[in-house]
Order: sequence, then structure tokens, then C-alpha cells
Amino acid sequence: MDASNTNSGDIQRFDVIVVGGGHAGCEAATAAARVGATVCLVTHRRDTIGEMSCNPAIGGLGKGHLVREIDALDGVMGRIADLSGIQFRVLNQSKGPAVQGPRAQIDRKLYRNAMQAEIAATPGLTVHEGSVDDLLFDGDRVVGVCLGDGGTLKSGAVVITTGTFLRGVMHLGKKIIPAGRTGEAPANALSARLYEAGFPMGRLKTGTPPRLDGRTIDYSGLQVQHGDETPVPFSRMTREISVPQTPCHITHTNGTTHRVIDENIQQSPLYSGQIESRGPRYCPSIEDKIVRFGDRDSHQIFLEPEGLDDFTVYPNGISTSLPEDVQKAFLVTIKGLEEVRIIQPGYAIEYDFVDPRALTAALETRKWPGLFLAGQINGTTGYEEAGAQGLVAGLNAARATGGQTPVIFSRSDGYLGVMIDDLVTKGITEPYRMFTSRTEYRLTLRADNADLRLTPVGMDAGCVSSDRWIVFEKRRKEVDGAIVLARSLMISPTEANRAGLKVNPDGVKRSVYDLLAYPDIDVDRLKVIWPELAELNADQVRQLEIEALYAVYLDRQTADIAAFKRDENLKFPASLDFDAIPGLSGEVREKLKAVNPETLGQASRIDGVTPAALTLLLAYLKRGNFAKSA
Amino acid sequence: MNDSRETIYALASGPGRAGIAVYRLSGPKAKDILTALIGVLPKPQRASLRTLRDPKDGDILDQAVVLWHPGPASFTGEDVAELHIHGSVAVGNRLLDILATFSECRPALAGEFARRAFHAGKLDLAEIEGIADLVDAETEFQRRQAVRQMGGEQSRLYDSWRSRLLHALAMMEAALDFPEEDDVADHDLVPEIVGQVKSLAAEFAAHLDDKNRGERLRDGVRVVIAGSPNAGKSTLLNALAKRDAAIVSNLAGTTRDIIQVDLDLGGYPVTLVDTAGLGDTEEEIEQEGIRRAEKAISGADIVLYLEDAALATGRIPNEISGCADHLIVHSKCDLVDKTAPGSVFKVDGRENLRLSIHNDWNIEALENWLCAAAARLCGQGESAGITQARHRESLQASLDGLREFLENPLQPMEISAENLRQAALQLGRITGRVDVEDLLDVVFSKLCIGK
Repeated sequence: MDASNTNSGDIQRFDVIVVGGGHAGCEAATAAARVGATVCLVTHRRDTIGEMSCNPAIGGLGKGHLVREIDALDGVMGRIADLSGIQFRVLNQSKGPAVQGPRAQIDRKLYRNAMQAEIAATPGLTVHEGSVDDLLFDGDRVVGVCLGDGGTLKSGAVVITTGTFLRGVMHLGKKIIPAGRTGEAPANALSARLYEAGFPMGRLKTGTPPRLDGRTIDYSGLQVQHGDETPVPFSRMTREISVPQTPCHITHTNGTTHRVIDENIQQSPLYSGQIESRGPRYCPSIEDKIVRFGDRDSHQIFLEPEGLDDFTVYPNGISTSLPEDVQKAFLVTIKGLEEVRIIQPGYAIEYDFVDPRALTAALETRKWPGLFLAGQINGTTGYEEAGAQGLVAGLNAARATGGQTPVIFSRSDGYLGVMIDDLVTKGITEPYRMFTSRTEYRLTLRADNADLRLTPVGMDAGCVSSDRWIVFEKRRKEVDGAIVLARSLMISPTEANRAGLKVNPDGVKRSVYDLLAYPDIDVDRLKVIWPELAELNADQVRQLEIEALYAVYLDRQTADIAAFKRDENLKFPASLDFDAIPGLSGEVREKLKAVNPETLGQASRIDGVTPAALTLLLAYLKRGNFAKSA
Repeated sequence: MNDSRETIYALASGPGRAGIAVYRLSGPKAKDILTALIGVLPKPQRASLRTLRDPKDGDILDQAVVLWHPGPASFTGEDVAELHIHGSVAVGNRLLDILATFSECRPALAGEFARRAFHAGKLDLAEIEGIADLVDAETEFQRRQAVRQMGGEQSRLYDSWRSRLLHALAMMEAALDFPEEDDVADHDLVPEIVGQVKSLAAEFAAHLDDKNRGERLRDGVRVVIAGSPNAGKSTLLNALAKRDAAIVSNLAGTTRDIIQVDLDLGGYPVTLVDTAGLGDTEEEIEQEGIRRAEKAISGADIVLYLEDAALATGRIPNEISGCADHLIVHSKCDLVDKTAPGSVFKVDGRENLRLSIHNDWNIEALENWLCAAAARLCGQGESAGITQARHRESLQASLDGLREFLENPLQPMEISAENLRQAALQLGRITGRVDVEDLLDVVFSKLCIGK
């Protein structure tokens, strides 16, 4: 990276400009650079690149899946998390592999430093400190940005990843502070520009808990939560986790805490009417929890360290926008926090988002080609959701600049496909977070096979480095080899029963692969019969056992996916005018125009689009006069 | 579920009383099924008159014109069989019953024939636009209408099944997605859900029991004849049934119980219900009759309210004016009118008809009115038989999912959840889609999630 700021007095040209240095921005910039684009990342402050403004953790259910998918496409989040994780845990180990999600507590400083180093070491990627106030146009096409200091930067495409900075407003009791996050100015000019242009926009709310001084917490008597004995990294490129590991602690609110909050509830901007926008149902403030679930006498709080040499503690579970003195008053009622010092009070933040139905599945705005949006600006929440969108937007921005077709991830490709399809098809009513329940193909789209599913796609798209490809090829050969072997080793029921395996005496021969579907049979047991199985390495054994466990369901899902893809492959031309299709009802026509589906499959997922309408669309496609442009 | 490995069937001709009803089968099993029904296959593309038999017992079902179109030279590009049978609802329903017994064979989804045809490159625009009109009848609106047609009790039943299944699945999904929440208890969860699923499965199975089915198929549109005592209700029933199903006398209060007759009215199955007169009475048996009459009215799809033309009060009981489809019939109008009255007329927005059975005035007009009302209730696009066959299919598939879940509830939870998801997806074809947002609504309203 060019260490000096680019001189904004001259007009500079890049292939892609990324606005914002958060998780979406970092993935967007590095993805575009991996494709070979020259990239400029514009951010208010270089030293906040890779900042984790909310909880110090990455991954989890659904989210961990996304991190693995980002990694499979050679993105950075997984590798950086591996360099900065201080407590790794795979969630749901008592359940099956499809619903296990890798998660890690992160040292915020290590993460930020590692991300900034990664950005600095990325060839073709320049960082510019400054604000973006407007966009440059050539007709409808976005061809650059106007900077806050009056300079301009030109580009083939622009990716906006401004998070909560668009007209960001912090609420702390009755105090209202315009800010993108604590101590940082919001991006109001850019927001105004998007409003003026007529983008459909809305407002969302999210909150954070107070940050506590860990030196004033009494951990004795609190429940300790350790990480896994052997930390499992996020990235296929990580050999081992070398950062020292540290535990979290768990405490609980109690009746006194609830009474303090209840008595002061009218001071919360959520209940005084000061905040009207919608917050997420799955991440309620402590005020919300007490009002809505009055019958619970206690709520758990995870005390998460923000770093190895940082005494700041993030009390996960008590986000609040009550005034600071009330925050203090309820905190000291909690076990272990009797003497606690608040480093920074909790707050709620309201910000603008763009209705993601204004985007294509490539995350490009339909109104202004060349402009891509990713992350919280699209109404999502979470680093992982932001990162995954950033990667897709950056990749497609670079490809657009290079005159290549966009790479679209579908619902059957991965969680990132599910997320983007949900966003651009259904829009949002609350900040969108990934859950495993959102995917139809949960047993197929797993964290353990993200690379097997997506790295080849990334290779074709041009965003996978050769180092990654070598690692991937080796693993794919190993896994395929193990499965071929397991399918080739056969045994009759009589022989199996003689070897102590309980199998129906139906005369049908079974393979090792078939046998592994039985809950009580694993590779270890079968080594006695087939010594060659002992040659398999741990990864091969695990992958083989997973595939075999789900085999019946995977076959079914493969058939479902094939049916799904048939409609998904029927693409509408970008220029399709739904008004020109005869026979559609007015209501259906409006719904189609609002979402502008790109495929017949996407159209079928829009609420209120009838089978009759789909039949007409199909017929229209069949006429074939669009086949080329699709 | 657009799997073309399955064979699909549907009524291809329009509903209603027609000389001929055309049923179409498409898919890999069409050949086997046709052979099972008629024996030796006819020559391709040639109409051939055959005897249709139930393959189970060899019973003769109907004489039918049969066409055999082996793929790919067929409408869908697959093997297609066409059965042109007599257009009776009973025969059609029997055929659907038989088709449902074949494995990998199910009623077609909305637009599925067209879709298969399209994928095989068989349809041109004009054809598909024509088909779209038909498909239109099979949309969400149609589904709701079909559920309504089942009657309030059944639709409440399906709704309660949906919410119970949704709840079970939501608790499971919550345990999968939010393992760190102390509000989410996953250790006790499975036994609790097993209990819920067991009772659902038992109810589905009882509902699918063939004994019930026969009744439901016979229960078509319920037309209740109500009115004050001696208004001529039983006479009207007999006139419509064209046989003496009810005892008719000119003594008020003759009909003390409910009498019902099943009719095929313009191809629609109609159950005509005669009731006791709704007058004040001291007599105990008659009072019971009135109670039953009121119950029959509340369960009616259509009410014919009779008033003696000579004694007309113009006062309509509330339970009848609240009924969506009703007709005020002024009976015995030959005693008042000199000449035949006109057809249906409106008073205060209500439809009225003057009628004399004695003089055969307006009986045909009444039949036409009933046909139109029945058509509205049954929907234009498909017969009640098809709708019910499809519901049955979905309920069976949903039950299969529940049973798979129950077979081994202790397997990894995500697999158990997969079985319940399948069950919910199938039930959703009857009750409306079970969307992930519905699930999340249940999760977040019942559980405090918030790490």
C-alpha cells in the first residue's frame, strides 16, 4: 500500500472504489483486488479499519457458516479471526455437523491490526483517508466519488459500505448525538444524496451494552466458560491457533436489577417514544427483555473480554439506551459487578438503510449501474453478514469494471446466496441476521464443506489465489478418495453380524459408506474389518462420516436442488418490462416491478406472485427473444 | 416438489356436469397405471373404448375412451394417458381414489402439466396463456376457498394442526439456532415434541381413514332449507330431490328431525338438508327439532329461507341474514299470484324468488340459482374431488414426515428437524405456506433470545 495519503488535488482513477473500512468494506476491497482490480478504500480514519464496533466475537450458528463461505472464496475474515481469536468454540457439538457453527471471541486490537496489515499487504489496494460526500456520474452510471475536501476519485465501480454511518444518531437516555459510532462523525451528505435520488430507504435501530472495566469485576463465584480444548480455526489456510486462549464468564440479572430498570423504563428512548424505528427481535435491549418477558426472574450475561491486554469487558446480553446513571444503578445489582466501573455507557443507534430490493443479486443498484451496496446499509446486522456481502459486491464490482458478467450465488450454493436472495427478494422489516433455519438445504450447506461447495466457484470467478487452490485441491482429492474407498468396501449382512455389526439380515450387501449411516457405527469400529481405513487422516474420517450420516437426506436435497435450479436458471433479461407482458394482474405486475426478479425462481418467492403469473412469465421467456441478453 | 420422476394426474376438462370428464396422467408410471386399469394398451394416439376396472378387485368402474401418448411425442414430453370417462362426480372421485393408491403417483400441482410441457419444449405462447387461466383457479384464493368449502370445523382443524406443528418445529429450530440461550432448553425438548407429534400423527391418520373420507366426499355443498313451520320446506326438498325423501303433510311441525338428501346438481355434489320450522312451540320434541335446525343453519354453505307467500312477514332471522349465500323463497305463491311470477329479484340487497311447486313456477330458476351458488363455492377451476384428493395427498405426505420423525426421535436433532420441516412444508400446501418468518415469530414471541 502507498503509505502516504493519495493526493486528492489530482484526479485519480481506480477500477473500484470502496467507501467504508468496516467488515463489508475490507472484504469488498480485498475481493476486488484479488480479481486484479486496482482498488481505493476510502475511510474516515485509517486506524479504525477492521474495527469491531459491537461484540468482540465472530461466528456462531449461521454466522460461522458465512465466515467459512467467505474463507472458501479466499476472503479475509476467517484468516484474520484465526490470528486474533482468544477463545474458540464450535457451538452445538451435541448436535450434528450441519448445525455446528464455529465461533471465537476476538481480541479487538489484534483483529484490527491484523486486518490493517492485510489491507496494507494487498497488492493493488490503496487507502485514502477522508469522507465521501457525493458520487460522480456519467449519465446514470456511477463513475467515482466526490470527497469531503473537494477532491474527486474516478473509478469503474463504487461499493458503499457505510454501516450505521448514514445519518447515524446515538441515543443515550434523553441525549441524542449524531454519530456513526462512539466518537465518529456520521455520513449525512451521502445519505441525503441517496434520499434525493429516490432510493427506497428506511431507518433501523440497534443497541450496544455498556463497556465495563474488567479490573473492577469480581469473577470469583461466576461461572467460567472455556473454549474448546483444541481450537478449530475458521480458515482452511490456518494450520493452528497460536494466540493464547482465555475464558469468558457468565453472570445473571436478578429481581433487583429488573426492578431498577422497570422503575426507570420511561427514561429509555425506546419507551419514551424518542426511538420509533424497528430493532431486531433476536437482540432485544435489557429494557425490552424485562418488559416483554416479565415472568423471567433472570437473564444471563456473558462477560466477554475485548482483548488479552485490554481490560475492557463486553457484557453480552444487556444492550441498553437508558441514561448512564441508571445503567450504573442496575449494573451494581448484578453478581460480580457490585463495584463495576463503566468505561463507556451503552447506547442505541438509529441509522438509514437502503431497501435491498433496489439491488440485483450481484448487489448492484438497478437505478445506478456501477454502484454496489454491502453490509448494514442493506439492512443487515453482524460482521459476518456484512463481510459476505462485501465479498460479493467487491467481486462483482471488479468484474463489472472488467466487463465480465456478475457472479450470482443462489440459495442452493450457500448461506451467502440465501442471505442475498432474501434481501433482494423480500426486503427486510428488522435488521437481518443469518440463522440456519433460513436455509432450505441445511444438511447440504454446512460449515465443514464450505470449501468443497464454493472454492471452485471462487476459482472460476477469479477471486481465489493459487495458494488457496493448492490447499483446496489436496483436500478435495483426499475427501473424494475416502468416499470412493468407503463405497467400494462391501460386506454381506451375515459377515457384518459376525463382526458384531447389527444389520438387518436381508441379504443386501452394504458398503462402508452405507454402514456409516448407522448411528452406532463409525470408522474406528470398521478399521478392524478393513485395515485400509486406518490410512485415512482425521479430516478424511470426519468428512466421510458426515457425508455418510446424511447420505439419505443429501440425496433428497440434491433432487430438490436440481428442481430448484431449473427455475433458477430461467433468467429474465435485465431489460424485461413487466408492463409489456399480457395477462398479468395489476397487483402481480406491481409486485414484480417492485422486486424486479432476475430469475423465474426468484419471482416464485415473491409473496403474492401466483402460479398463473409464473406460467405467463415462463411463456414469455419461452418466446426466446431475450435468451441472449439473459 | 417438481420432481418429474413422479407421475402426476388431474382432471383436464372443466368441472361441472358434462357428458365426458377427461383425466390426464403424465410421467414414468403412466404406462403401468393405464395397463393396470384397462389391461392391454391401445395403439399410440388412437382413441379406444375400454372398460376401466379397479385393479384391486376387478370391479368395473366405467366405460371410457382411452388415449395413450408415449413420450416424447406427447403434451408434456413424458408418457401420457388420457381417460375420457362419464362426467359423474362419483365415478371421477372413485377414479381419483384408485389413482391415489399407486406409489410415486400424486395429484398434479398448480400448473404442473404446463410446467413439464414447457421444460420439454412442448408449449407455445398461445397454449400456455390458455392454460394460465385454468391455473389461475388453483391459486391461494382457490385454496382458501377450498378450505372454506370443507366447512368451518375442518378448516379450524387444519389451522390448529398448522399452529401445533409450527410450534413444535419452532422450538426445535430455536434449539438448533440459539444453543447459548438459557431460555432454550434442548435436553427436555425432544420428549416434549415427541408427545406433540405423536398426537398430531394420530389425528392425521384418523382423518385420512377411508371411512371418514367417504363421508367427506359425499358431503358436498350443504344447502339448508329453513323457514317458519308449514312454509313448504319438505315439499321443496322433495321437488328438488324428485323423490319422497321427507314425509310431507300440511300439519305444521311435521319435520321434527333433520332430513338430508345428496344430489348431483350440475355436476356439483350438493347435500340438501330439510329442517324443522323455526316457530315458537311448547312441544319438547319440536323444540329439539328447532335446536337441530338452528345448528344445521350455522353449518350451512347456502340457506334457502322459505316463507309462505300469503303469510310473509319480511322478518328474516339473524342467523340466516349472516349466512353468505342465501335466498328468500316465497312459497305457495300460486295461492296469492294469478300468473307465473318473474325470476330472482332483490329487496334490500337480498335475493328473493317467488315459487310454486304446485304450479311448477320457478323451480328451474331455483335450480339455476343453486347451481351458480354451488359453482361459486366450489370454484370454477376444479371439482371438489380434485381439491380433496390433493389435500389428502399433502396430508399423507405430512404424516409421512411426522412418522419418520417418530421412528427415531433420538437421531441428531437437525435430522429430526428435517422430518418436521418436510411435514410442515406438506401441510402448508393445504393451510398456506409455513414460512421461516412464521417460525421466527413463534420463536421470538415465546423465547427470550438475546445474546
